[in-house]
This record gives sequence, C-alpha cells and structure tokens, in this order.
Amino acid sequence: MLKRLRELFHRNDVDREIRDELQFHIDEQTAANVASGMSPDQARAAAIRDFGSVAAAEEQCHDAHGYPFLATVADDVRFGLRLARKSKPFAATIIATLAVAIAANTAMFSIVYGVLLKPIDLRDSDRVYALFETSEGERNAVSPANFLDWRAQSRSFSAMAAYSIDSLNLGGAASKRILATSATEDFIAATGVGPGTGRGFAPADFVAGAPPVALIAEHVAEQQFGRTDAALGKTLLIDGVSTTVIGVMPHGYAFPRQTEVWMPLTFGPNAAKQRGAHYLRVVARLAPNASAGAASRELSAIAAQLAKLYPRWNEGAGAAMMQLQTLMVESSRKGLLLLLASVVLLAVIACVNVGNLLLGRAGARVHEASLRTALGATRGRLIRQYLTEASVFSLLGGAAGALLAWAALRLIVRFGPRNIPRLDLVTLDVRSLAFTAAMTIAATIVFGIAPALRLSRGLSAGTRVIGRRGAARARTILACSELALAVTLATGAALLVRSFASVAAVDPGFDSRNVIAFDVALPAATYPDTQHINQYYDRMLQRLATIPGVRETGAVAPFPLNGDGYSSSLTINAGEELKDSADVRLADAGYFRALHIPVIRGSAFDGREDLSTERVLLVSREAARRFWPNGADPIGSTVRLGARLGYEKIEGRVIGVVGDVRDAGRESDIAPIIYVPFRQSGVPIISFFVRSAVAPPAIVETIRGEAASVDRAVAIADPKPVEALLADSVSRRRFQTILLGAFAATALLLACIGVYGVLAESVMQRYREIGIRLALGAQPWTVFARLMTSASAIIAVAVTLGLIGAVAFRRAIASLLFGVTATDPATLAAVAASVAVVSVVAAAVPALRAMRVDPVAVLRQE
Amino acid sequence: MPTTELLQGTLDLLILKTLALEPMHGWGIAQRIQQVSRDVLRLQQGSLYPALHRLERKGWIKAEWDISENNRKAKYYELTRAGRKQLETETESWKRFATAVRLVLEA
Repeated sequence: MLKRLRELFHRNDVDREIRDELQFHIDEQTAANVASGMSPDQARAAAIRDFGSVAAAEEQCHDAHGYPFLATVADDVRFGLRLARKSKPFAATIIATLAVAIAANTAMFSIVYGVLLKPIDLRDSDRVYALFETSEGERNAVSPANFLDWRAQSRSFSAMAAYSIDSLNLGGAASKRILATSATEDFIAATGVGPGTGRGFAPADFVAGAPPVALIAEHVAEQQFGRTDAALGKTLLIDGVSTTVIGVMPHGYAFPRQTEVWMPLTFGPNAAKQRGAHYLRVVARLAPNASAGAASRELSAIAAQLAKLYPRWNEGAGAAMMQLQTLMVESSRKGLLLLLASVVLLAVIACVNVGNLLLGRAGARVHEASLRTALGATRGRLIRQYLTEASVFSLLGGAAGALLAWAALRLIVRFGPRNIPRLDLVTLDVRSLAFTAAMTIAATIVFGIAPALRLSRGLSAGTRVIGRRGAARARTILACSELALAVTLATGAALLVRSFASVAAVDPGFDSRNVIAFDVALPAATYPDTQHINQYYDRMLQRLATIPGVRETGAVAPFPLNGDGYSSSLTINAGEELKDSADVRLADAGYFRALHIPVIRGSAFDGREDLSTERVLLVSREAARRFWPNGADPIGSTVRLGARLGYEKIEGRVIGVVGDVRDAGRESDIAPIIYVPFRQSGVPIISFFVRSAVAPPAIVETIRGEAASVDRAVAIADPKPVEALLADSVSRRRFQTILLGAFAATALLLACIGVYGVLAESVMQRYREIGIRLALGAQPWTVFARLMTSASAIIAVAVTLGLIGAVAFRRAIASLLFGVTATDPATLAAVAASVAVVSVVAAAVPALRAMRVDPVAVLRQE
Repeated sequence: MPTTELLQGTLDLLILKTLALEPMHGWGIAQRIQQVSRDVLRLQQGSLYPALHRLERKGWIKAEWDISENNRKAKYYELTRAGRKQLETETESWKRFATAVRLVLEA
C-alpha cells in the first residue's frame, strides 16, 4: 500500500523505470540480432518491429499498476486547463455560456421553489385550505352567518376558523401601526401553529365582556418588553384598549400576511343573521380521514342548501376551497412559471451552443487526435481525455455559475418587487445547488462525449472527411435550432416589453407628481362616532395646511393603489336595486384638487359638506355611463348605497360627474366610482394626500410631527410618494420584463455565437476551394455573397421556426400581456427583422474574412 | 515452421512457469518461452511487459533491479510463494482443459 502511494506521488520515477526496462529489452534484442549476423541498423529495426508499439506497452504498464485512473484524470485535468489557457476566447466563451445558463437556472429555480413550492409556515400545510364564498365564478369573502353554518354542518374538517386582518395602532404615546388578525377559536388548530411561549386562546377569551388578550409576534415582544418571556402577562395598548399578552408566537411566524398581533374574534349576538356582510376569510384543516374532493363536495352541498334557505342573500352563491399555499402565490404563479420555462429554454440553448463550439473545435483537433492515436492512445483513452477536458469546462462554468446565481439572487431579493409574496425570503437553497450540479454533469456528458465519439470513430474507420461533413451538418442544425429557440424567447420578451410600454402609457386619470399619501385608522374606543372622526379630520387638515410648501391637502378612504376597495350595491331614484355594484370612495373637495382629477360636468364638492348639510354625491364618468344608460343625466338623481361603510347611511343627490381614475394601479380596469363626502360617511379610516411644491421626502418628518400633535395614539403609516405607489403597481411586471428581456438577450447572443462559429468553420474548411476560385478569377464579393446566401438560408429557417414556436406557445404568455396580443404582427415582424439583422452581422464577420483569402498562399500549399 | 498466437490468458501461465526455474528479466523470459516452445509460440514482445507488471501487482511475482550478464542494469523478476501456488492451480486447470479438449477432438 505504501509503495503504491509512493508510486502515485512519484509517477515520474515509475515512468522512468518502465522506459528503462523496455529500453533494456530492445537493446538486448538488438544485440542478439547483431550476433545472428544483421547489421546494427537492421538489428535495431527488427527489434523494434518484433516488440510492437513501445508507447502502447508503456501505457499498458501504467494501467497495470492499478492507479491509472486517478493519475490520468489528473493529467487530463492539467491538459484541459493548459488548453483552456492556450485558447482563451474559446474557453471563456464556453465557461461564460455555462455560467450564465447555470446561474439563470439556479436563481430561477430558487425563486420558484422559495415562492411557489416551499411549504408555508404551517404544520402539514398541504392539508390547510382557504374557503370562500363564490358568486358567478368570483371568489368572495365570507359572511359571519354563512361561516357559522359551514362550521356547524361540515364533517370533513378537523378545524375551521374565520379571521379578519386590520391595521391598528399599538401603544399610547409614539404609537405605531401594526397588522392585527382577529380570529375565531379554532385558528390555532386550523393553522397548526400555536405560541412558542405562553398559552393559546381559551374558550373563555371569546365570551362577550372577557378581558382583552392577544398573542404577539416575537419581534413585537422584543421591541416592547426586551425579551420574549418578559412579555407574558404584560399589557399592551392596542387601539386604545389595554390588552394582556398571553403568548408569543414562534420566531418569524407572521400568518396571515405580515400579522404582528393575534386577537380573539367575537361575533355580536346578531352574527347568525349577518349574511350580507362579506368580510371574513376562512381557513380550515382537512380532517385526517377526509379527502379534499369529498370536503369540496360537502362544502358545495352546504352552500347550495344555504342558497335555498336564504335566497335574499345567498342566491347564486356557492362555496369553494383552495390549498392555502396555492392561493397565497396564485397571482405570481403564471409569471414565475413563464420565467422558469424561459430559463430552461435558455439552458437548452446554452447546451446546444457549447456542444456546437466543442464540435467545431473537435474538427480543428483531428490532427492532434490522429497524432495521439498513432502514438498508441486507445479509443477509450481518447474518449476519457475529452470527457475530462469537458468536465474541466463544466466545473469552472458550474462554479462561476453558482457564484453568479448567488449574486443574482441577492440582487433580485433586494430589488425585486415587494408584491411577490415570500420573495424576500428566497435563498440559494441546497436543492437549487444540487440542480446546478446535475445540470453541470449533464452538460459535461452531452457535449463532452459527442465530439469525442465523433473524433475517435471518424479516425478508426478512416473516414475523416465524411466525419467532418456529417459534423458540419450537425453544427448547422444545432446553430439553426438555437437561433430558432432564441427567436421564440425574444418574441416573448418583446411582447412583454410592448406590454410594459402600453402599461406605462396608460393615463391613470390623476397627477401623482409631488403628492404624498399616508393613512390613519382611528380606534373605535376614542372615536366612537362621526362627530369625533370629523373633528380629527378637520384638525389634521388644518395642521397639514400649515406646513411650508404644501399646496393642497385632501383625504380619501380607503387607501388607493393597494388593492383595497369599498364596493356597494346601489339604488337610483328609489327604483330597483341595480345588479352591478359600484366602487365607493369617501373623499373631500381637496382630494380632487390635490390629484388634479377634473370635474367634467356639474359642480365639485365645496368643502363645507357635513352632517348638517344636504347629502350629496359625485359619480365618475364610467359610473354615469354604466348606471345612467342611453345618455341619461345623472345630475339630480338620488342614489342610495346598499352597503354600510361607516357610522352613516349613505344616500344623496348627484351634483357632478368627475373624470375616470385607475386608482388601483395602471393595469386596473376603469371602475365605476361613486364619491361620498368624507364628513358625511363616518368612516374611521382616512388617507391624506398632500401636494407640495418641494420634493416629497423633505416634508415627511414634518407630517409625522403634525400628526402626533393631533393625537399621539393614532399612528400614521409611512407617508409615501404617490408616484412611487403607482410605480409599485407595475413592479412585478417590470421584474418579469427585465428578467425575460435579459434571458432573451443572452439567448440571442449565444445563438449569434453559434451562427458565427458555423460560418467560421465553413470558411476554414473551404479555405482551399475559396483560394482556387479566387485564383481562377472569381470576384471576392461573389465569394462573400455565396457564403452569405447559405448563412441567410439558415437564418431564415431559424427565424421562421422560432416564430412558429412563439405562436405555438402564445397561450403561455397571453395572460401576462397588456394592450398587445400574443400574435401581434408588428411585434413578430420587429423580432424577426432584428434577429435577422443581428445574426446576419454575426455571419458577415467570417464571410468578410473569406474575401481576403490569399490565392497565392493557398496555391503554394498545394 | 508455422507459428501460433498465444491463447488468451495463457501468457500469465507461461511467465509463471518460466520464472519457476530461476529469476529472469523480461527479454530472457521472452527468449525462454520461444526456445522451449521450439519457436512455435510467437510472443508479441510488447505485450509481455504489461503482463509482468500486472502479475507483480497481484503479488505473484516480485521485481528487483540487478546487473545483467553483460553488465547492464536490468529488472529481474522472481516467483513469490503466492505465485508458486498460483502456478500449481493454473497448471492443474490448464491440464484439465487440455484433456477435455483432446477428449472432444478424439471422440
């Protein structure tokens, strides 16, 4: 064993010994031949002939020593590195190709896993379902009475809980806004996660008049009390109510959304009759013996029964369930899967490209390989050598790719859109790394073996020329297919870019520049009626108006641009209740001025609306069009809203029509909106808008100070520029567009390298032919034209195939488009044209070189 | 005189048998096999050395550098105890094989 180890490290000694031994043999034989009468030269030649290949014998002696694999692998690795150093551009291209493909794949798989696939923080999360009401295929929040009936009648769930999420004020002085979830008894049983310290909710906590209790998130415990265990039994002021902390949730737990405080949800005595108020979310855990299908059927049956019993509220209403995890990531799913598919396509292109490059070089290495074979290298040995070389590239590419993936992920997590859930938690996980490794190995085998097989087979069969022709055809096919795939990807990217441009060009209907918005939620304990709310509102507006640089102030509820909205059924002029519902905004005169929303007809709010003045309303142009058909004039009509939004019932006379706005983001539809004067609504939530002459960030701190002077217990959420909020509404689209654009650009670059490589090799192979043609008087430009014609044929076929691919995959992307169809002729034409131009340029480089072939030099070589 | 290529696997046996007489270098072994077989067995000399190295690896022979008859450094091989045993087993099985073939041919 020791000897063998020594042999490993002293390979040169062993080599020398073997050579000495063989040399001795040949010398002896030569001497014997001389002794039998040959001349010395004859004798040596005969000795060598009798011996056979010295190199082969040497090689086999090595192998006999039993350490050949490791040692030759080390040799091959050294050889591979030496080759890589010798032809830097070639090696760099291959390694970069691999690195980019591997990085893009690892990063995308990490994201898809982290966002879509990784189990959410709940115990056995695959058995946790979200339940909703449905009407006309749309999912709806659940009303208390329906929830109570579902819970009482279903048998398929081991626990079912309702909850609602609210933004509340935590603490007295210097209060802050927190997200609080109020949930019914079974919430912990349904989610499967209870407090890490302290106790969960007990039945007594849900009795009317029970002392208020709460579970808090770990970071809240640390901020408020310093330590987790110090929080138990202490009290917190939540929306002005003194609440006892009974437990602290486990580290990082924040379900639902980013909840920081969990409290018992109790229904009033009328809950069993509340079927029309849909505001609850429902989470349920499948019973151990129940299947999802059976549970879903049971739920539908119960809903059908309720629809029959209570047609007034439940007519046409059904019920549906969906795995909670699926629901949470639903909105990001399509976009991410499209990106994943693109990145896989990119990987295919990369592998094809690398294979193409290696195949091209294998052609150039025929000479070297034949030399090695002549010196006694066996076919297996050659294959192994090429495989090892390919592995060197793969390993370098894989390592660079892993590094790049890590960096890319950090960038994406840092700067990616906030509205992709869980994106901030994505890490380069082990699986993704394993995936990288698998891809690297696969790439090695794919492009490592192919050229090696071709080389060694071509040689042993003595069909070098035929082999090269076949390879040239293979390379043409590879280049053509990678270009086609790139065209497909580029089409997708171009469509997304077009969509992004359309979205950016959408007029939101208001002017967001230099406007800051922030909202407050007034606690019911200190703001029990409209009077109190209006007092707060008046004082806030007064204070905001005193801030230097402020031009306009206004208020609206709910907060626009974050997807929340009030909607209501409505009745016009005491007629029938309309089928359609309208969006409702509680706004003041300043809101329209601050956001430059125009009054089209009639008059605006005058700012004096109050409980003591006439109840008035404004309608948006879309609302006028939809609810007053055939050009009827809404002004003067009386409108009554079915929904109760605040303390006040809403019914008023329409006094004007205002411009349409997309206040849920640029991509939202134009909704019909009814505006109610804020002071006539009694809603305890207010979003203030401040238009200033100076850049928004400068006055944020002043705003905080003024708000604190009105009521310290009311925390204001971060004041944000409305322009930034509007930008956020397209951040996911921007993310998708940038990523797909980058993938497509990379793919195109790779494909161009492929086209260039094929043509460059073809020029090299036809070097002689071209030289002779030129010598016989052919014009250089005809040589150029001939080459370009064959390249153009490849490009034309590739572009056509790519466009066919794009059309075939149109369904995959259709739902992500905006203002452009998946088969938009202009986009397809533009992609085809630009890809054609770029790849023709790539082909022109070697073709131009062909024009400069020197016929004299060629003829001299003959 | 017609010559015969070595049967697969018989080279090891011939080497062991040859070395059973005395330690010898590679060229000597080749010469001996040819002489003793009256030049019938034609050895591809290059293939002898990998076989020697293989047998050395298996521990049936061991090698030492020594001075040859004409004063040159040469690598001498000799049989080990394991090699002697291996020779016996292989001789036995070869004889059985040869007998069997003869029986078949003469039947």
